[in-house]
Amino acid sequence: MTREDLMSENAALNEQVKLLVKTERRLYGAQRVIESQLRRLDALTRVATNASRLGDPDRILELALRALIDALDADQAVAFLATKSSSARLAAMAAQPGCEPRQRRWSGHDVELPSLGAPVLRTPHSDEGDARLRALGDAVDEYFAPEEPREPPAVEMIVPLRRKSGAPLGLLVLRKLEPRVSLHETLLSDVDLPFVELMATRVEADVENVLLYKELETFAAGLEQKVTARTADLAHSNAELAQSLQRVRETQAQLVEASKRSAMLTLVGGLSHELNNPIGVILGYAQGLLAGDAPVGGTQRPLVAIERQARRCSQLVRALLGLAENRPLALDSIPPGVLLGRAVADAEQTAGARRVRVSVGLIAEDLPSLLVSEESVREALGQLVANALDATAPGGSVTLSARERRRNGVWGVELSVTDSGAGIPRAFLSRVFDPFFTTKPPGKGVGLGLSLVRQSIEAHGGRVDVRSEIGHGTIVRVWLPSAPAMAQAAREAQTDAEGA
Amino acid sequence: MATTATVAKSDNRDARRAGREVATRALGELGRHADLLLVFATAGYDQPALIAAIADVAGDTPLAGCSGEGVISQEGSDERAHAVGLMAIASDRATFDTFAVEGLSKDARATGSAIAAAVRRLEERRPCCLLLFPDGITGNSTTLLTALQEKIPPTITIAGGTAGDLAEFARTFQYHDGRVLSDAVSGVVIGGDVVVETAVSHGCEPIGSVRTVTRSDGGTVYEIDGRSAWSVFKEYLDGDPADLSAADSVHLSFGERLPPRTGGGYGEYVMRTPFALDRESGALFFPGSLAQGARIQMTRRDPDRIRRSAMQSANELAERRRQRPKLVLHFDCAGRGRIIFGDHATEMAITPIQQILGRDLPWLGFHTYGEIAQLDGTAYYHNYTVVLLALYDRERADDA
Repeated sequence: MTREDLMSENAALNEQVKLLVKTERRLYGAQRVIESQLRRLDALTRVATNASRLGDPDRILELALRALIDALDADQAVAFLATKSSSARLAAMAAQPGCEPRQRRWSGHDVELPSLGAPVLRTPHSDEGDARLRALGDAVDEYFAPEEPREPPAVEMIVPLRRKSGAPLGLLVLRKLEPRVSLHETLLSDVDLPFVELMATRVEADVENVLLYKELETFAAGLEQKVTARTADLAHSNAELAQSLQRVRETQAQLVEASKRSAMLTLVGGLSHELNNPIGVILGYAQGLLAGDAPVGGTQRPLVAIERQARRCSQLVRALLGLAENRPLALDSIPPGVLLGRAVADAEQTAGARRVRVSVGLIAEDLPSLLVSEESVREALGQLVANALDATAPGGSVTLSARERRRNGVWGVELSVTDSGAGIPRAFLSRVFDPFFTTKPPGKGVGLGLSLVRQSIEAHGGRVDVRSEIGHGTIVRVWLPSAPAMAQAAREAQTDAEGA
Repeated sequence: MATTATVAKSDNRDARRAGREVATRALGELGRHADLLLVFATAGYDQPALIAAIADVAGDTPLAGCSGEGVISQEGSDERAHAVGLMAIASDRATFDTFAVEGLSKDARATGSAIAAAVRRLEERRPCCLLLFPDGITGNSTTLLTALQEKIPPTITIAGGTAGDLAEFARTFQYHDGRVLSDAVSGVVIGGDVVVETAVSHGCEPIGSVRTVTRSDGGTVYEIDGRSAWSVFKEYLDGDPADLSAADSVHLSFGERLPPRTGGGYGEYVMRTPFALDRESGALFFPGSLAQGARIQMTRRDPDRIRRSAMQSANELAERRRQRPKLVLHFDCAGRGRIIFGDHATEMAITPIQQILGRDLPWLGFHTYGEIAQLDGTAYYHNYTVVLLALYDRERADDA
């Protein structure tokens, strides 16, 4: 190899060495960039991993501030948290150990929030016109070094925080205090903004979650209070209702008792009255006979009178027994028209004597038969017709009619006895079914007829009511379930019994 | 009573608070009257305020030190703009005399002579070590050391580091008692019944052809291989830089071939880094000087080699004396910290050394613009180098 060749090769090798050295320098640069990015990634990871567990906006902010300080070598970092839409309090702080105040404390003073649409990089005198930014800076100075006046920071970064709704959440403030930095440090600059904004976004999300959770808790607590209050109101109301109900029941019981007592008094009074007269007659004759007084016309008349009055007592007792009896009914299927016809036939003689016309009026066709005890219903109808005849003046009329009528969902037949009599005063209408209540003159009735009628009809599952108007007569309506309805009811009762 | 030392470090951004804090803590832990304070701080501080705050606490205790690119302690390396470390030393075995000589840039030789005179005046104290903290940018430290060594006994160990200023290369600071100086050399003469040992290593690797300095004057090199020094250096820089910047050039230096040596694993070259450029003439200024006719070679730093060399020299230092040091001083080039090891500078380059010599030893140092250490009994100015100094109380065997 010639000297020229060696020199040429030497030159080529030197060039390669230079290239390698330059490449190595670039690698050092790339390594520093990677380390810087890794510090930032580590900061974001620390916040992302831990913030959601903190559950407190102040602590989340402090965690983020410390992470930002580590990643950016900031000297001071504070956060303001909005208390209202336009003001905030210094809510969290973090700083490198050299900048921590001697005594840790939180500022309770509100400062006005500057309206920032984007982060601001602030250097001394760059914000002369913005009073809110100056006030913010003063609050930070006051926080870190309340007793010592300090030069403005070399550079300050202010990053707005917003809620998801767009409302202000607060601010992050990062500071580099002095303009001189070492070869390995940098002042805060535009290059750092994307990272800080990314951290701010993370903080916004975490604080938003905490605030939403707190709002939900507050709402739930309020709702619970409302429910509790409402429940208490309802309980109070229920207690009042229960008391009212109790009072109503007591009143009802008193009324029932009074009604019973009234009925009892009516019963006793009527019974006493009805028994007193015949017993008085019997006693009078009996005592006269026992005393040996010779009655005028012999003993025949007193004995007849005693026998008649005793029979009257006996009838009265039988009527009373009938009222108390609960005899089983022997039911027959019988058309309503037949029942009415027989009732008219039974009354025709008496009606004729009183010159009152008694007749069967309108009877609808295809009326269902009634499943009743003919004897019992016939007696009831007879009592009703007798009452009607008693109430009707000569020349008047008593009309019996029948129609199909549904009552409480059950098909039946309504039999009515209508007279053209004087009518019953309204005040007496509610008492006409009471035992011994009567509007008839003494000796004309004992007041048990309608009681017996109601007992008889209700024993068939029927109902009786009376309507009357003075001067226009009275109508008594007897509703009895039809035979098919009775049969259906019987089948259902049988099924229920088998099921049980 | 033996020699004892304590170290305190602070990164408080406020100079007064930081000064009070380190002085109070170190003196408090020392528990006795301090005979010497060594202070190294980064240049972000208000330097007079820092030293005044220390003096407020320490009174008239002798103080020496300088500004640097970072502070080294058992906590690791802190290269932020605000970091300060203070070592308080008390000893009834050793004597500590602080000094400062101003006007380094004006006459480095005269400055060296003045320091030598000061050392000679302390002959009765049996000086064994001279710590030097020269301004790192203004003067020719090689001239300084040459002048100094002409007039002091070779038995005195010379070590130290030159002051830095956050890579601005504008103004550095030297501390002497309560004063803060620039363009000066501050230092300490250590005498009495103590012994110091030093270790030095760099980890740079020569690359490319051997070159010759064809024109120079003291520290200013005008031409290399007949071309402007800047044009030669620039060929190794990425892009087309208009100026000399630490960030661009910190991975490169020139290696100046040493005279044939008798031993040690240091290597054949001492590192020389340019600190300033005269853009008009293309001349480069080397605080370590490069004499006309010097044989030089470009070198690149190798992180792994740096680490291995430092650990090897620390092991050699540890084995040299089967004795536990009372303290360790650590002068490490600013180009051997974060700028090459990034966020892992402490774990990669500092802690491994401390693990060899002792993790609990009082340990203080700083990242320098240049380092001063002896090779085969001759003190050199270095670049891209680490210097470790261990101080021991003298034992009977030493007397013999």
